[in-house]
Amino acid sequence: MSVAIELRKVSKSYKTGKLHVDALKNIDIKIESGEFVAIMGPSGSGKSTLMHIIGLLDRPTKGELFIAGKKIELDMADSKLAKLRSERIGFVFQTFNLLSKITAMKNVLMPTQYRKIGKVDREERARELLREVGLAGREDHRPTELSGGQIQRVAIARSLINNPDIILADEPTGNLDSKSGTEIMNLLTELNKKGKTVILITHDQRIADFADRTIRILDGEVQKPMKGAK
Amino acid sequence: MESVKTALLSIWSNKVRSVLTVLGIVIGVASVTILVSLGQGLKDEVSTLIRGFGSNLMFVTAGKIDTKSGSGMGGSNPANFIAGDILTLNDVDAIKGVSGVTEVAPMALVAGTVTSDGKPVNATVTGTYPNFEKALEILKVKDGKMFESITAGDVVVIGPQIKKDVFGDVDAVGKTISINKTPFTIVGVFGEVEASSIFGNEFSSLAVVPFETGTALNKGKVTINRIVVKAANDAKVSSVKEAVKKAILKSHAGEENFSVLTQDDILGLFDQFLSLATTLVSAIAAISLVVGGIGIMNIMLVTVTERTKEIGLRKAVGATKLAIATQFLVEAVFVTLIGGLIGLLISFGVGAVVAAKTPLTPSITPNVILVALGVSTVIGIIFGLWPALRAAQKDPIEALRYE
Repeated sequence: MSVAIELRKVSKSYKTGKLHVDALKNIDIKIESGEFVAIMGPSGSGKSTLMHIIGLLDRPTKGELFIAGKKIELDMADSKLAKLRSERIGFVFQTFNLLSKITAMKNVLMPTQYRKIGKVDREERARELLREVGLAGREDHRPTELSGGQIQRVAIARSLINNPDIILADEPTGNLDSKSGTEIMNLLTELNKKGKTVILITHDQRIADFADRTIRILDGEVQKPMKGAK
Repeated sequence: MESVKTALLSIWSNKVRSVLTVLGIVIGVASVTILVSLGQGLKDEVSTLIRGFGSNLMFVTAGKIDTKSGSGMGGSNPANFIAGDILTLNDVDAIKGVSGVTEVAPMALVAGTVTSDGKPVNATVTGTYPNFEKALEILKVKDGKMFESITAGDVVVIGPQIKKDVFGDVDAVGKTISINKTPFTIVGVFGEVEASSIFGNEFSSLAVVPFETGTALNKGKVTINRIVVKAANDAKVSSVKEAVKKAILKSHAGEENFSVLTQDDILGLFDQFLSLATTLVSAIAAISLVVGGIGIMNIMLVTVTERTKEIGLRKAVGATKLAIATQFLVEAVFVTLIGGLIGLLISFGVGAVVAAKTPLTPSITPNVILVALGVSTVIGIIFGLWPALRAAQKDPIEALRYE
């Protein structure tokens, strides 16, 4: 199996006022293509920073980062990072982040604005994805006409529209009741079975249990594996 | 194309705000377009009138008008323009002697009150020579005929408006009308001056009497305020103008207290006046556009802040800084462009009303439309740029956390 994501001795530090914060310290992580990995840690542990670096929204201060075998230079241009994000990574957020004024269909299509794909193809694809997440017939509903669970399904369809290898889900069930949360987790599990690399960021052990492997972060460092170790 | 759709959606979902925001642009564009179209309409009128006069017609008028420097009165005493004692019959005779001149007719403003059956009539009484009609090509006697000498006595040729006001559809020739309570026999009626609807009015209410009769009405004083000079059709107008000027200078002992104006000079003077007026209103409109632009900038900054989370999301799914900047810039340009279009529509509306209610026909040329839309676009770019750049510079992580 090929490597989807690899971090070598990645550190991230920043200054807030006079305070120097080491958010991540010498992180070594390797995630194989097709894995379902949970990154767990309490708030302030650095797991969000780690997610931002894996999602190419933030740059490490030190160390090496590889996405699908490609080295990400620390000084890579913003526009190149944006292109990599659009091609490789699908984001699912705790707060869903759908655009409230447009339909489910248009929300799913939104990321294609920044890709060059034929119009007919992408509309067909968006319809297909909405059906896959169980929202056939809701294409023209606006987010205000959908339940939380349904909204998150639209968001998952949106994360898949550009056919990325990696799905990065940041507390995807955090704003959902447990029933909807379970449904969303089952959907992510299903996606993983179809070959997507799914990375889950959570502080909830029950959610992390859906993953094949859990990486625990505490005080900016990776904890020794406790269970489900590779 | 997507950014255009997104922009339109955003403008549409904030209708009231968008309308208020573009008001400055609307007012700016509308005021400039209306003024320019009125000016163009007026210019068309003047050009038509002047073509009607024929290019070989000249006016000699009291007072010195500088047609070259653009300063108009050129430092001469403004009182000269209304003074009746600067141009004399000597000047008329001197002009007659200039080669290339075919007709010379002085116009003497007569202080006369016109009445019909004791009721006042709106009329301008002018004493002139019988060849007045020949000199002023556009004014033709329709009914009756022009008087035949400057001593023809108490006879008058009236303009079409006077005829209509006093006699209606009844034939006026042979009837009488009173000037300073003396009855005058109407010998002729001028036809409508079709060449010009606005300036024709001046001729419509003209009452022309023989020159000597006019002098008598003015209690023996000769008060020539204008001399109509017609050059031969084949003569070179500019050289005849210089010769006429020299002849009057000679009879005025070298004092240049008069002007000889060809039709080109008059058009030039009119252009000077028009461009001054256009400059003034454009300056006011520019202020309105700048204020409007600042309004756009303000509202775009609000929009960018409101949509911080959307910006973060778009960046996360692959939007580059350029894509984000373009989205907000397109939106700003659309707002101003819509403002410009509304402004244009208003000026078309005002133009239609003006055309229906007045003799003037405002003309909105394709150039005016292009400039109006061009200026709106540029305002959108200038004032939309900073908010767009601010949107583009937002850090996606911070933006996604924004509540």
